[in-house]
Amino acid sequence: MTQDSRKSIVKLILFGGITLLALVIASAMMKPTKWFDEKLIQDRNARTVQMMEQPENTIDVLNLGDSLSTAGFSPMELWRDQGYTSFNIGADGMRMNEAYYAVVEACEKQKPKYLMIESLTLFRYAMGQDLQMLLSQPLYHRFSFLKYHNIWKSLVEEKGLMEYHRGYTINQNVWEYDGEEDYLNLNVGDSNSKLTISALNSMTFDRIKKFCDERGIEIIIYSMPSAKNYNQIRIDAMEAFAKEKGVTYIDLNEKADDLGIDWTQDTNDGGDHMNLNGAKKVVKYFGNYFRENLNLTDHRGDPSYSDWDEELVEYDKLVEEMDGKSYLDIYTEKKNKEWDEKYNNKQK
Amino acid sequence: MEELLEILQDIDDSVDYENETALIDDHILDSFGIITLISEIEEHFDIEVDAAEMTPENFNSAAAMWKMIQRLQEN
Amino acid sequence: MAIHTNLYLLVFLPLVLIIYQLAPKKARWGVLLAASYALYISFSKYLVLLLMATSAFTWGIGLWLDKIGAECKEKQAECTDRKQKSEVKKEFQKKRVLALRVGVLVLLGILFYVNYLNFVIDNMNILLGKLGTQLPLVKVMFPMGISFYTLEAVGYIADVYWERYPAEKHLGKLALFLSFFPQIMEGPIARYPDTSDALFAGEPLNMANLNEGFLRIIWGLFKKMVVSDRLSYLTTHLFGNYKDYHGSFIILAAIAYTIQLYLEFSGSIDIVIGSGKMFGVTLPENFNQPFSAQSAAEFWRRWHMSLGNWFKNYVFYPITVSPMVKNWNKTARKKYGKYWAMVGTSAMALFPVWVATGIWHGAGWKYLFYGMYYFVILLFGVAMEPIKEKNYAKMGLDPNVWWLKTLRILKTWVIIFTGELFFNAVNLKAGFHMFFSIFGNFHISSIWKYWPDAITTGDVWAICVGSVIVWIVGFLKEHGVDVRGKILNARTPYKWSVYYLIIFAILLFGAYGTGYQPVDLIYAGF
Repeated sequence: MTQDSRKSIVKLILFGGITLLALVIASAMMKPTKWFDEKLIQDRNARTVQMMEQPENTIDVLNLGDSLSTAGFSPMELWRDQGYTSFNIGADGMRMNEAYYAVVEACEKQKPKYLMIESLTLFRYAMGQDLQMLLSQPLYHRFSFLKYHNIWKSLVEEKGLMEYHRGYTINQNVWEYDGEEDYLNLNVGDSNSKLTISALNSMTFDRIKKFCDERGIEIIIYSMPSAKNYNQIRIDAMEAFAKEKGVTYIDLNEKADDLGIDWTQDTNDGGDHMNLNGAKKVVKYFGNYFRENLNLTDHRGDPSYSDWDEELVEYDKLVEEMDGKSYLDIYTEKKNKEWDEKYNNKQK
Repeated sequence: MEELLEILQDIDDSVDYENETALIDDHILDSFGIITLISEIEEHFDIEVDAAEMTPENFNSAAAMWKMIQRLQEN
Repeated sequence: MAIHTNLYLLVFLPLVLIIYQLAPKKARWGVLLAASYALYISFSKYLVLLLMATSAFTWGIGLWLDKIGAECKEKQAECTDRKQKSEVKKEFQKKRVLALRVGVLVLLGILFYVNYLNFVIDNMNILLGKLGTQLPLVKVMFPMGISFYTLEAVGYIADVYWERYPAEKHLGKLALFLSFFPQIMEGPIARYPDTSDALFAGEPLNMANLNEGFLRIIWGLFKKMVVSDRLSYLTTHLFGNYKDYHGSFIILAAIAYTIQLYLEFSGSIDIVIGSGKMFGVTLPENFNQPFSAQSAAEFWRRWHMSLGNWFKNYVFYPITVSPMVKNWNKTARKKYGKYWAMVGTSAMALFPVWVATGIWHGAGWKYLFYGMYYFVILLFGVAMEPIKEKNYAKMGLDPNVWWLKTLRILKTWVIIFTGELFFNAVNLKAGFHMFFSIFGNFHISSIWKYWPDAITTGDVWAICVGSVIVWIVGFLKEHGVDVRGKILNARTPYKWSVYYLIIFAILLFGAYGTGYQPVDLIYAGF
């Protein structure tokens, strides 16, 4: 090796080293809750950030999945019904690889007993994108500078409207499902969510399972009632999958009648996601199921959990205030009102 | 050569053709100038300029054009 | 694995660089070829066979042309007088034309089958629909990059036919030229002598090239990730819901899309050229400050230059000097005078160029319209040229005075924005709808009311600041200040500071992260 090429290699290593060091320092500084009001964060990291703000070892149940899981499960209702503490750590369109790190990050300060996984995430797969995520997700996890890089936006943008209640956002919009009643026999599946579980997703599930096994967390897979997303093929596939992995599987679609799901009242977008009505019914079912089958503590009355009671008051107040609307409705109203004021002022 | 320079002057008289060596590369002669140029030199020198000759090297300077014309006249 | 993804930038490219460097000099071209096919397979799977077959076919046609040429020379040597010689030449010329035709027709035939057949069938079905019969559509897979490598192959065959260079004897070398991985998705369209020797030479990596390539790549990423990808949310929304918008919004949509397309396309070309540079391969440039152009013709000499050059060399000039056009030109000069002969000849040569440029972008009436739009504008420009000069002289104006220049640049902008509006419209009908709705309900304030939620204040900031930075660098280059060269020649601490500044600007202000779909490369779809 010539002296020149040796010098070049030293330079390359030095450059990479400095880059790495700068990333580490920047990531150490980028503690979202340290510099920013957590309510400012409105993107998909909002739940993660608020999860990390929870007092140590207070969350017993984690609820993981894509938007089906976050729209159909309200931890405040579970608290009201049973006094169990839970948190939605899912996000819109969540993929398994992201889900893995959501669990890892949620467990940094918590020792949950149960992890619920909504099953649609396991069906979500597009090889190209998922391979990309295999590379990017660990980087986002290691370097919070990358994960929270969008935080600068909150310096120039006004505070968002959305309020999260242990990872749940209130949506009372009613939009009935007017399709086939017997939706389990229809064909569904789009380009990103398949009818089978890919090998990569199965492997990622194994990683989550291994992580949970080491910490004594029990996994429960479930399928949210969703006329737009589930059919018998998927449910059968998931049942076989759960059996193979040795975890409990609960399908709420077959049980939809038992739950009392009313497809004219309980969905916010025509049979895709649950609204608050639907979420209450889902939580009621799970509450009973947990009480009868799982080993969970009712924390109601425990003074160290008084923040849950306080938040429940706020939550109920907001439900009343929002009066059947979603945040999007309120946002649009607000925007139109502001514009009218501005425009009318100009007219005068 | 004199004849060629006259033709060129006729197309655009603001260029110093005797010293310019990047007529094409610097877009001094544009594609439309070349259309006129070719019909003029074909007429004056009684030659056929075919597609194979349409390279920047052949048109970048008056000298190069002159060389090409002479070569084509020989054939 | 597209060239703007982390998989390419952080894994594939570094890996290929390392393997390339470790391989013996003679095997390095093989490393590049293997890497190119690997990348191709990641897009188009078994269609890599089509790319391989195209390469072998092109290679064969080249050798065939050379063989005919050699035989011709042999026979000519036997001849004694000139007349005999030229007769021999004529005889062989026929064979050469046959080889050229076979080569070009097969290559264009495949391109037609993949890109245009269904469009033709679709439109025939509309006509046939009245008769009650329908033709079935064919099922085609899209081989990545076919629009780019086909043009390179046709150019190669034509150049060999014109004896601009001898045919390549080494199949691998030609195959690498046609498939080189940074180029395959979006060009630039190279000519064989541009890159083939450097690709094949297997020169070792060196710091100067690595630096230059690296700076180019991160600059491209900055353009794409900070500005273009954010704009794409706005333009997707506006063009997708075009019926809800009019007036100022449509103007905004046209300008935003033009900026998005420029930064996205030139940014990814920066990544392409940077990648090539790292291996010591200098790829042709594709952009030269297109928005400094003072006319539509000049714009096309500065925008997607490799495509423009290809059409100039292989369509425009051959048509200009074809016997038919020349004969017409001769008669017209006598009949109508020089001016009209020139305008007529220009029209004859420009028309096929712009039909082809239009539909090269895709099978669709809007692309054909886009081509015709520029055909009309350019022809008008040609026709007005002498008149304009006279007018300037008459008014005693110097055509190069600054405000006239600025006016011409602004006029060119309007032409460009209008063109891109049609180019990106859902279809031609939507394009016209959008164009005419510009003139109705013109309220600047309505922009604020109907502003799409996908674009937040932060996005607007990033877009504006990013665009201004890109504009400043382009402005300096236009005025002879080579910022990139200055950075590369600076001492290491300064140079590295710039690198870190760009990298962290991308990491902080770039549109990426979970939930962001990386925005697909626009020109990779053509």
